[in-house]
Amino acid sequence: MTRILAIESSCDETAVAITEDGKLLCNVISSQVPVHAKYGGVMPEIASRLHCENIDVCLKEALEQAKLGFEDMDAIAVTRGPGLIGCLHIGLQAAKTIAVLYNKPLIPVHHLCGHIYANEYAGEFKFPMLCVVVSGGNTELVLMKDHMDFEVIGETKDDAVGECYDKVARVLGFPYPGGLPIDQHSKLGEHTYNLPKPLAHDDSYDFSYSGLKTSVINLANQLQMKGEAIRVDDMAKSFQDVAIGMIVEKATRAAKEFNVKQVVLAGGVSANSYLREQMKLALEGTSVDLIIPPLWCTTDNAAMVAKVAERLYKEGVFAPLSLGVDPNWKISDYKKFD
Amino acid sequence: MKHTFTSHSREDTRKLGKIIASLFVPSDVVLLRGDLGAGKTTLVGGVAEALKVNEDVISPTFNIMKCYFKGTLPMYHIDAYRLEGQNIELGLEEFIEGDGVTFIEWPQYIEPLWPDEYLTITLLHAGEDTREISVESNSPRLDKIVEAVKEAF
Amino acid sequence: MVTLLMDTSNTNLSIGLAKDHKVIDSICYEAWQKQSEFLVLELDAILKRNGLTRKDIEMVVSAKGPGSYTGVRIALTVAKVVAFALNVPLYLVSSLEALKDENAPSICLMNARSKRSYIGVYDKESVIMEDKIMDNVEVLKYISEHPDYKICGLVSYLGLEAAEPKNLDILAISDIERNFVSDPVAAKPVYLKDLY
Repeated sequence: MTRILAIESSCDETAVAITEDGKLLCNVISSQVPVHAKYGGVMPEIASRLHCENIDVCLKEALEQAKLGFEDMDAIAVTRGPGLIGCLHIGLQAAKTIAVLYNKPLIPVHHLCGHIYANEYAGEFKFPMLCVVVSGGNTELVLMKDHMDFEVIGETKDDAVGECYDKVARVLGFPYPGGLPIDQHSKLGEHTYNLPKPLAHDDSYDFSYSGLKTSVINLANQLQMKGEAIRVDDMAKSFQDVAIGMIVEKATRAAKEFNVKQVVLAGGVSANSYLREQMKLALEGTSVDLIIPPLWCTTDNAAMVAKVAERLYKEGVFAPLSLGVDPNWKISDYKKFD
Repeated sequence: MKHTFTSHSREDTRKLGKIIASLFVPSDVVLLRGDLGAGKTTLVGGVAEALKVNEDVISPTFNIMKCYFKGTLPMYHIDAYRLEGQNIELGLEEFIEGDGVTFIEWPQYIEPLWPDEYLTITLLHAGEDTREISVESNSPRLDKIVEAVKEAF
Repeated sequence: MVTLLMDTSNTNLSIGLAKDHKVIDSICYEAWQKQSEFLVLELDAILKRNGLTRKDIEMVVSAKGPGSYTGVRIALTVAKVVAFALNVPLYLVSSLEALKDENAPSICLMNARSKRSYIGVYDKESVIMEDKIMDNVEVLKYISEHPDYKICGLVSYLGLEAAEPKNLDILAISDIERNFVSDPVAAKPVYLKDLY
């Protein structure tokens, strides 16, 4: 029997989960999203302070729900990166402390691996598999030929798609996080604003969102100067069509080129209903399966960290106590942590 | 001291980054101003390359600050865009006044955090791939950086 | 049975063990931006070096700030987790007080950036001035008005000199009522800069 205690603190959720042979015994999350909402985005210093306040509360809650103690664990897993540096430090200290006190191995987990493997709670992986990793801080296409084998075949050159959503939401007067309000308003609007498609002539699988963001901002400014009201529903629809369209187009092209058996969506933006619907449509009639993560899997949590940790535990991938965080950790380096 | 020149390509902008990188000392600060999409992040990428930071430099807007510790000098890349109108505790001083070189985009939103001495680099659109770039120091200590840019461009 | 002592409030990493209010083993070195990597490694080392396990820790005393936000949180997070896991008492001490001279009234100072200082004034166990932020001009005035007080801390930023702080020795004698934390799970640092 293998019991893993996993800790996640890379951004604005402090989370602790415990698994026993793959079964989730508890999944505790303390979300800070409402706190950051009034600032229109995550404020790293506030986030770090809250992680420090909440970490023991989450650990206590997890042990109580699972009716276990630290000594009952076989390993302690923690998100080492990528993420916000001050936030990552908190989870790491907690994990290392427990590992030392109870003499347990320490397993460093890559946050995006976690998002990808969150999908294992929803279905079995079939390889080759294409992962569409889309969140506030990340936008990547990752090809997996087998378990824990990651090759980034395309990524953003500037902003992540989630970040772009938040910025556009701000311009349109929507609250943070911007994904849901934009998704909702776009259902009421039409694609009437002409926004340029980024990297339209690019054959690569890279993304670029800063141009799209700039176009929306410039268009909004122009309309304001002319005294014209922005039709927010139409702007939301026009923006979302382009932003999501780019992901679906490149993902579908990649799925074909690399002959994948399955596509999975991962990360916060995978909760977007338009992305889910368009990805489903794009793969309809093909032999490619699609795993759409349940909503609870799309936000940061420690259950996904535990899933990855189980595999790393079997392979004996343990970190020394001198482990540090890496806010820029690349997914292909998930086994490198010195 | 101030020097203005024309960059004809992303490569020119990166080259500027490499030149100034060689002259930085710990706690140097560069205020990056200019148009959206004019190449501020490209410039920081050039600096990163010269400092042997083997990591991609992308927009720090989401994180507010991205840190790069693997090069010869720690590098902090701050984007204060989201901090407009905010007057809250950010915890950035210990990095800005610390042990590395700090780049601040949209610096006007965190003016109270500027040190006394800093370099200001402004990048403006002047055509499709062309940019008008000016490098200005506000203290004699940083003049030598402007001189080096003058020599190269 | 030993007391675990920790302080990572600024550029240093300090960790020690105390018995009967005396430090029996300690290590202290400059570790700016590296405390997150080394603190728990040193915790493991200091326990092993003394032939101890978690069962021998009967109390935790840690600095709680002010100071470097990152640094303060590192020691405090470790302290909170130890106290919660082992169900042992936690005492949190002002990082300024940890700089004081045991035997003289002390003006304890740290650089608060933007030409200000963190300042706290202590005389043995008494608090003469609660920790606060003060403009450096005011600080220098206060110092000149109290020539018999010892200047303590890393004060080169003010153009002053001070003796090497003995922060772990101070932590070892700081398990007093005003530092006791009734609920370690809810413990949080003191930043003094809390504008939100």
